[in-house]
Amino acid sequence: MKVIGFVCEHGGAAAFTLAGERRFPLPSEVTLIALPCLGRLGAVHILRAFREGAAAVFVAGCLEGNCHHLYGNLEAGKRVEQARRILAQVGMDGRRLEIFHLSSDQAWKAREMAEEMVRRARELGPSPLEARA
Amino acid sequence: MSQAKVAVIICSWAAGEDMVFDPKALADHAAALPGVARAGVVHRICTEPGEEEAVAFLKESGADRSVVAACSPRTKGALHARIAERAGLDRFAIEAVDVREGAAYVHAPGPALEKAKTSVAMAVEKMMLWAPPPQRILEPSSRRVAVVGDGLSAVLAARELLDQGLEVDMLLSEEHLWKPPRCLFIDDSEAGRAMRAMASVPERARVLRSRAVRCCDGEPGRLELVTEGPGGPSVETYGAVVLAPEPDLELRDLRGEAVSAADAQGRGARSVIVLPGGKSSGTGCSCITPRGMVFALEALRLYPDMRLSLLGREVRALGGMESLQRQAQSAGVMFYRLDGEPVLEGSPPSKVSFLDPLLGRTELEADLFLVDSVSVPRAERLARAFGLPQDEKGELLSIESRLRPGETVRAGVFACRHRVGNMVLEDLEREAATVAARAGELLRGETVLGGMVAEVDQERCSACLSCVRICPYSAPRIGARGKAEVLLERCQGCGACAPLCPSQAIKMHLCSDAQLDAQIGIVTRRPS
Ligand code: SF4
Ligand code: SF4
Repeated sequence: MKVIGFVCEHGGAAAFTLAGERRFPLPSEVTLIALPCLGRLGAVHILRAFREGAAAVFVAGCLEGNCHHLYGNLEAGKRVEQARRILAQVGMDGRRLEIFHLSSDQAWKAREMAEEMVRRARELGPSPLEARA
Repeated sequence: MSQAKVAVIICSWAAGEDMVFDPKALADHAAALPGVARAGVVHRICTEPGEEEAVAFLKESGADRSVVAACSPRTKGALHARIAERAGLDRFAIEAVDVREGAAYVHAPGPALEKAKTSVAMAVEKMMLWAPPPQRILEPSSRRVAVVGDGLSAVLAARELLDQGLEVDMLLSEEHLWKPPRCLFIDDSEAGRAMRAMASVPERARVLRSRAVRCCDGEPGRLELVTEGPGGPSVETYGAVVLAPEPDLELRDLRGEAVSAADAQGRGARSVIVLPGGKSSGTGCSCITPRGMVFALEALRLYPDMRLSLLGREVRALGGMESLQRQAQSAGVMFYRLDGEPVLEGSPPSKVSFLDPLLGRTELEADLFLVDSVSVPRAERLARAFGLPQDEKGELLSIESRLRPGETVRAGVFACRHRVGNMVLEDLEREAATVAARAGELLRGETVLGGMVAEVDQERCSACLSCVRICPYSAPRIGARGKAEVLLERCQGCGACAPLCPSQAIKMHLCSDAQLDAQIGIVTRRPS
């Protein structure tokens, strides 16, 4: 089972690095893809991750109002909503997709996010698209 | 075009000092990946011998691009660029992956190796799709630097630039330099050091008085500063501009008036409480700072009967400042810790109540309340003149204060931001030195623009203006051909424009759609 996390360099990725430095155990089902800023993310990237068989996808960037590039994280929020609407049309449970906001020193939150998404993926089972992929 | 070839370097410390997995096993896996010319372990790549070994490895590999699997790459960009260049590769041809904090430290040994393999495979696949990004070395037209500021910060920045052999124009907005507040100096020798700089540095520079900066045009390395002053407007060209707005570091009363120890005595204060700036101040700092301690010590030295209390969530005493705290404590200054915001009572206030984590709800009386905060006045004016965005507190936005200190979003314009350390003399000096060093780099022709930037395919662009509207840094503009183009010196590579382009005309270098798709593909690939 695969969970993909799109993380921005300054918030999400940095928090996961800190979690690593603190040696917090993380679920190995989660793989991160780093972006310069969440603003880089298009709905197409999220949808592709699902189409290729990811059981859950999360997007993690800076706190609201604290985006390194001013509002990339809010832009990403719109992309996530867009992707969610499309997922609903193909009958995918919206809980498979989530956006989180955190700061680079919130290693605990990085861990919680990863665990939460793996929990949801387990509960909802493999992606209905995986069989077709 | 010749076939892309990737060299994969695994740092011997990639799996941590306790060797959660064998780096050799990771290298063997990488060697078998399609497109990989050579893969091997290099002993500690961030050391000098490690760097040499990596350069030699890359040269011998015959590869034109590389993947480095090591610890977190956040602070290693300059090292990787140097290794690439020394090995004859494009400086942006190294992709770093973190398999230590990202795998070895967070998973059990078996899954850690598997995760590391996936990460390396993702990076290799990404690099197979790599193409040299747009880049340009900044060529300065002039060795003259403008320092814009009115006080000690400007003086210190000017001194550092002069010491590098550069020519400096100091642009004051008023007739004279501002006097620094006493609370900046831990002792008299520091005050003397600052005063000597204030007196001697302006003699070595060209000082332009009462000049207001109206706007800044031109290219980085060739910035045209339009100023207005007594002699009318003038335009000068500079190789770089350093903004050194003078921070407001003085302790102020509740009405915002600056108060010295002598002023406090003059007002008949017998008991003084210094409150942290907190959310209302520029720093949002809720600490007791060295400035508060210096003020208290000075007041006690002059007026031994005065009662002085400092309140804050914690004591900010970085570096050697603990001795200052001890000195203040033994002189009788009271330190109180507080949780949350203190509440003032009475009008005018005569009492403060707060939650002390040890003593519980605590009330203290005083006849003078001071606030210790840091703010940068006039930041708005500078932001407007230089076209720089402001952050949530209204101050000049920095791109990355730790990794790219001194830079603003505008190449060639550098700034002291006053957000570091204890904010006493030492910190102002250090910040001035950093900012001057960055400006010096540019003037020596060592600054490279580009890399992770957006580029518009002119054939596809339909001139819809989406990118122009969304970009936080005004990097895209409609060019002479009526199509969008991205200014290399302004683009920060955030990528916000790319997903919005209806014509899919924008390519994000070093993070293209094809590269993202390839990475997703590797993650979701089922084991064969
Ligand atoms: S990548 Fe970001 S900074 Fe560069 S042009 Fe696009 S929106 Fe502007
Ligand atoms: S968003 Fe795309 S089509 Fe619109 S102006 Fe920018 S590059 Fe051209």
